[in-house]
Amino acid sequence: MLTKEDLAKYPSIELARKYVRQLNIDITSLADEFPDVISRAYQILREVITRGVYTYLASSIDTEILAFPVARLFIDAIGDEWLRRRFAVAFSKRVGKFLQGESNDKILEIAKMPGNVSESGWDLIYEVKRVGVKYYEWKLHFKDYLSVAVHFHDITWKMCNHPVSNGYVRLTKRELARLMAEAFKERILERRVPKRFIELPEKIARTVKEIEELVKRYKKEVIREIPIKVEISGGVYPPCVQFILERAEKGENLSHVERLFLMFFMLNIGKREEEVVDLFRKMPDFNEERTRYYVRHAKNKGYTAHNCDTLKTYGICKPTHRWCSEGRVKNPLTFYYRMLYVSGKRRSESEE
Amino acid sequence: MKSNMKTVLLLKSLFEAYYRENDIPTPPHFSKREFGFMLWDKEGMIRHKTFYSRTEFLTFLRKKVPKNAYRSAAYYLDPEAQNMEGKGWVGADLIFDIDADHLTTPCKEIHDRWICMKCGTTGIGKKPARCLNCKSTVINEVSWICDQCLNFAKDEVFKLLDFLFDDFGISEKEVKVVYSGHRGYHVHVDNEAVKELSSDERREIVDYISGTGIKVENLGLIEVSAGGRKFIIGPDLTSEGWGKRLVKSIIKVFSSPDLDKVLIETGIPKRKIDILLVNREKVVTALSSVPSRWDILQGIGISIWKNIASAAIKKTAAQIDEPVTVDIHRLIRLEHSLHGSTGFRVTPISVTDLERFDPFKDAIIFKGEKEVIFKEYCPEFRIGDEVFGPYQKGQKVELPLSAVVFTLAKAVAELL
Repeated sequence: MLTKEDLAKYPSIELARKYVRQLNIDITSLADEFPDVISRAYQILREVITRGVYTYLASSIDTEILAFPVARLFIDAIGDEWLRRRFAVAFSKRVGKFLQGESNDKILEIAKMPGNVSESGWDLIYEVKRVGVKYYEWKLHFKDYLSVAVHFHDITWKMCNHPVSNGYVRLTKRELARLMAEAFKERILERRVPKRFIELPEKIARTVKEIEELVKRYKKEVIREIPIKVEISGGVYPPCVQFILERAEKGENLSHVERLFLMFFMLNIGKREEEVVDLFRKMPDFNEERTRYYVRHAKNKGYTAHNCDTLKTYGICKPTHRWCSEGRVKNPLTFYYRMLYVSGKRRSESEE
Repeated sequence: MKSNMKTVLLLKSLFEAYYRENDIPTPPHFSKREFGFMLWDKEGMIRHKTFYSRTEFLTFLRKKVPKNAYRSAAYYLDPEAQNMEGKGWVGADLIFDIDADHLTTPCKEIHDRWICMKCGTTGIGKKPARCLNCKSTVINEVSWICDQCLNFAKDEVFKLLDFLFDDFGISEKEVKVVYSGHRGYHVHVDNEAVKELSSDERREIVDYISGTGIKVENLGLIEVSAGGRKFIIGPDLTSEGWGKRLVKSIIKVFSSPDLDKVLIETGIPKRKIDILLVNREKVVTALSSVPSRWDILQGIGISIWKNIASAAIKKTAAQIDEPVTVDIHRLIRLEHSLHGSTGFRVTPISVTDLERFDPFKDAIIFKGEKEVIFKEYCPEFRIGDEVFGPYQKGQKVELPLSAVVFTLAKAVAELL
């Protein structure tokens, strides 16, 4: 049975939404009646923006429950996609940590209840099975597993690398927590507060303005709003790189392998450390120090870009160009250099 | 190769008789499906067609007499809309295509031919990248079908069904196997759980069935250290999914007379292969026990097992055509229609009948006889219990009607 404290830990679940609805709070009096909620929502967003972390304030459960929808309301009013993603990623990380320490009953209740991790809830069963040295405690229907796991682009999340039987995929508790956390993130990104609620009273509008300023300042100082140079279709980058660059430009959360691949590829074609770091500035969890460390490390080690077979395995390969679909390149770098040569030749021919 | 007018008229009249005399069943949820047709006298395909009643559907088939007929795997709110956005995608059956053309079969070297469109040079087997005579790249492939390649395709269907039933928990009644009328089989899964899967999710299912991206460490095959010694542990017959399949496949490989060939192909050093060949029975016993014992052979370390595992995975994986499964707007051949390149019926088969199904007998519908002249070399083929050919260019032969339709539709013969 979920407690009120659980609603504070997982304020996006249906029960928490129901609880908030029952309070029948009027937005016009929100700032006067619940000043603590407004300041907590502000605090949450400030930490999300500056540190990429969604903290938990156990001392005031009611405030914690209410601050979540208010923070989301602020995000919708600001309408900044980068902030929305950064909030969703930070919240999902917090959820993942909580779920790992949760009892099996609670995990089941949260996962199965419609609206929490998916519209209809997950088909999840608790059943322990040992395979080799690994203990699997959960099994999840493959339809629910796939709905989240395909976002990971990571070989360990491929279904073939998990025990699958009779329609169910076996998972450890840690894996299940990670999947559920990702589902929480996706639900946040899907749901937007209807626009009619975004007529904000004066006092709240002031707070929202402050957050907006903070977003602008942070983007100016840290993200620097450098547009990523994305080649238009027919450019020299292979389609896989092009696709990742387009998503990076939109501020989508790239998977670990996608980030490494982009980094190795760009370093290999001679981009400078600073240029490569800039590619990651719009990531919802961007950390300049860490990114710089990775880029420098990759540069010193001289890693080459993943080859096409490996990228195919990770689901990163996008064979939209005939060189790729016909298997005429084995590594994206070959595509790049060949295209550079061909386009250079075309240019010099047209100049002649 | 284009067929002459007389040939087209005969084929069309035979197809017309078939559609007139048979009440072709409508596919499930037919009013939500998009239909597509290729006609005898027009290039390209008529798409975005929909039917609101069974009568309308049958009347269309009888009036237009399509050369090829297709229907969508997907259900739409408005199947008639001219673009995909307007159609309102609701869901789609999960479709698999197994095509003998994509399988490596020894018979291809015997019956497939190519012809250079520039200088007319012909050759047997798969087409070369460039013509052996004039170096042109414009080369047409004339692929053929025989018992051997269609049996290879059927074996792949059985492998696929095993994945669907055991791993995905799909029941037999939710699966329909359809002989495509030419080179292979389609497998349709009509199940609520798969209906709304996205392209990416369907690709992941393809990867699962084709064993793409397996890391054997994740199946439990690893080396561990204990008490200063290294041990190899791995999955056993009580494991699930690919872990169990891996063990079963290695046992099968080690029980087969071709073990030496398989091991040589893996690139394992000769002296290690010798150890494995001498101890083949020991390996079978060790891997058949629960828990399995992977550590029984001195000198056979984890890297050798990983090599063997890669080969075993390839043998167990089903070879399916990825783009067909991933494309959620795909048009697939209409069941019970006729295939314009063979005159064979696109035939649904129940899983229990699949073993017995004989495409050269059970998909044949025409009766009677006619004389034809061969305009190309025609390899041997079988219709029912009778084997025909090979026939040389210019040869005149009287054949049963189904054989006539097959050779006309394959464009190797003409009517006299």
